[in-house]
Amino acid sequence: MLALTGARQGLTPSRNVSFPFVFSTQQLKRLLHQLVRLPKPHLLDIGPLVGSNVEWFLQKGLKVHVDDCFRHLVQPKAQSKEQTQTDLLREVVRRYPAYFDAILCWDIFDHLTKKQAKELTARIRLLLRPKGLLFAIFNYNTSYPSLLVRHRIVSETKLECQALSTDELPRRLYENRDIQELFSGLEFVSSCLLQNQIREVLVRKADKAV
Amino acid sequence: MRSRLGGMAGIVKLLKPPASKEKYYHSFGKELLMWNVKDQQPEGGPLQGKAPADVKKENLSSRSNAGFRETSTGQTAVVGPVIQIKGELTGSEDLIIDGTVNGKVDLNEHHLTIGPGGHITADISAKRITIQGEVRGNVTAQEMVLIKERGKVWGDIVTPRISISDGAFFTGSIEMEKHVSLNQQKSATKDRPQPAPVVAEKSLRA
Repeated sequence: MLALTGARQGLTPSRNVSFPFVFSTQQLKRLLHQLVRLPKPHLLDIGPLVGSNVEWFLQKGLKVHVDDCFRHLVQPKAQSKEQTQTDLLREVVRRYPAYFDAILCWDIFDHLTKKQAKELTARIRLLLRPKGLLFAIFNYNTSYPSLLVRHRIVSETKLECQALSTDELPRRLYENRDIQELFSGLEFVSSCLLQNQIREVLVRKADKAV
Repeated sequence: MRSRLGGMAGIVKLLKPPASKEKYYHSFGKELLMWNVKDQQPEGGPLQGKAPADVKKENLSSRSNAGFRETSTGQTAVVGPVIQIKGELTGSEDLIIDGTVNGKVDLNEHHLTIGPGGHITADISAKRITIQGEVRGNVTAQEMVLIKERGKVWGDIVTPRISISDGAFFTGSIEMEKHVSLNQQKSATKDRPQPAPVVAEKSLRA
């Protein structure tokens, strides 16, 4: 059984989903359209490195920054998991305050505790420029094993979910109010629940945010 | 016992048959080193007794999986696995680094390959850069950067084209510039605050 942190109780997930699988996305296109209107937009991808994604965004004229926070989800030998996860993006915040026009978080929040998720959101808020966008995915489909995955961009409207390991990670299932609380202080641009029970969220930092 | 220079010459020998009696010139900063490949052959080496053509063929076939190639210019210098260089490394021929370099690497119009055993803590610039080892520093290429499957990069990249293989590791930024000058410094967008400077040990070794 999955180790759920603050999750809904009583769910017994089946394992009928095989990786990789492709699903439709609505927010990626919206995000891209917002970004390409900016002069030399800067994008931070905190997901696992996908070379084709980087090349895809570069081709659209973006400058891409990569800092794989997902690697901290796997327990390092020398440090405790709790310790490394609280360090997520700390160095990036020090170097690039209010620098990015968009941040791709993918599904990292699914694998963090409530406290860690709040800390990460606070840092993301510091990293975003005014009107900067954050793209995140929340998985409600318990038939998906809670694996470390990466999302490869197939097109503006298609993502491919690829499993990176066979080890299951703790997964937190977010209610709507959890997401609203998590992104309090940020404006919701769009939030939609896809047919495969994946919620895509696009939020924006306010123009004159503190 | 093989000296550092002897080890390096031994590797160069693999790419060029010793029978050719060619001399190779490598400039490390202001210092110019020269040695004759035939004179530096290690005695009793594993390849002794084999015909030069066989040696070359064996070497190329054994390294082909790692991505080593004879370059278009036919001149390729090699910094072998046991070599450590501190300082500025410049040159006017293609270079394969399988050793350790701390400082700066500037190959101007030539190709640079960081081999699987290469550990570079330096800003590097070249026409085309292939990374199979580790690079901690900024990377500037006039043509293309290839980060291969086991390549690891901590730093910022400026290049007109890039290819990142699955399994590669990268932390930093990538900027695609159509025309890259090798002396080019990273440009910040006018209305964007300048990023804070990197504290080398802390950020690069994170």
